[in-house]
Amino acid sequence: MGRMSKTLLAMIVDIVRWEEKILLKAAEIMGLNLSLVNLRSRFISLTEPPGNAKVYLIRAVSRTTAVTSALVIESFGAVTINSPRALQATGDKAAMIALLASRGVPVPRSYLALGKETALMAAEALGFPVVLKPVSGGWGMLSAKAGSPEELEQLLELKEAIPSPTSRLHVIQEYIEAGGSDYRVLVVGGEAVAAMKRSAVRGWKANVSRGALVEPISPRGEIEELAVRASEALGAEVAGVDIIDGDGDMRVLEVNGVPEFRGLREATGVPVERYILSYARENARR
Amino acid sequence: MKAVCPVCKLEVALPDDVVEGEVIEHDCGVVLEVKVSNGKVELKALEGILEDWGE
Repeated sequence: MGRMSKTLLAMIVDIVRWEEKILLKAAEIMGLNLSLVNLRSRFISLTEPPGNAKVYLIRAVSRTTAVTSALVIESFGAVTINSPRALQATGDKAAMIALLASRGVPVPRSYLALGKETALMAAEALGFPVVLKPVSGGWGMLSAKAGSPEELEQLLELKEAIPSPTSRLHVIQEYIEAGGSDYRVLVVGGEAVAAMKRSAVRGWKANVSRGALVEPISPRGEIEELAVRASEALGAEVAGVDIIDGDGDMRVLEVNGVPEFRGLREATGVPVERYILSYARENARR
Repeated sequence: MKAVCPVCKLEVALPDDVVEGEVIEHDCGVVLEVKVSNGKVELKALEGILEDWGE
């Protein structure tokens, strides 16, 4: 077919991590034409279609880059996975919690507060301990548990000293005791394809990037139902859903719109990358 | 395949299937990014990625 052949799939990145490499390798094995578009080394047009792919997997580490590139690509009629709206919703913890709650998905009680004094008032309304979170950011960074007003005040002062437009915007959330464990479920196209239990080695944050111990679990039952509902509530076709079990009371902590999945892949052996590519291929055929 | 770390100047072994933009964590503690220029592979300290999604 030469120059006339249509590239079906493309992947937008800003760096290439383990996940993007395994997606490239899997595409090769599956006979898919997946082109890599690295925005750090290649510019894309804003005035004509940026490429000839029908479906673009958005895998940028930067949330801003992910949302902006998806908006640009979608403007010219191509499909992005995830959609710009899903990326926006999953990239902002405050908006994400509100969207989930408004759609009936159980989440921890949470408040949005601007500035230290207001954040302290929100924490008093919740009752200590509370969790302080930034509106954006992953890997558990800048999230902290405060057991008292004094602790929270210190944390707020540190966070607000960071030169960032969002450093004074705080999510204050009730702390749910779950023994330092939570669940990560990967949802692809409305199906929970793999799940694991993550247990913090120390402290309460169970992020894989923090060395959490992981064990595979069945992505079925209540966990599946909750993960699928959460991803659908945000319109996220590929989503990493974090769920906490507070003594039988399951709630969604976060939905990740560009999920890393190395830990999940290694814990479960489920070929997550193939599910993602198969789903993208089905979308390209529509 | 090998390249030189721009920070510690030691040689860094690269995977055979190295890709432009690939991130490599070097023993010296620096996170490096693979750059390909005129068919030549070089390493550069990773800069400018300030947000993340995580696992």
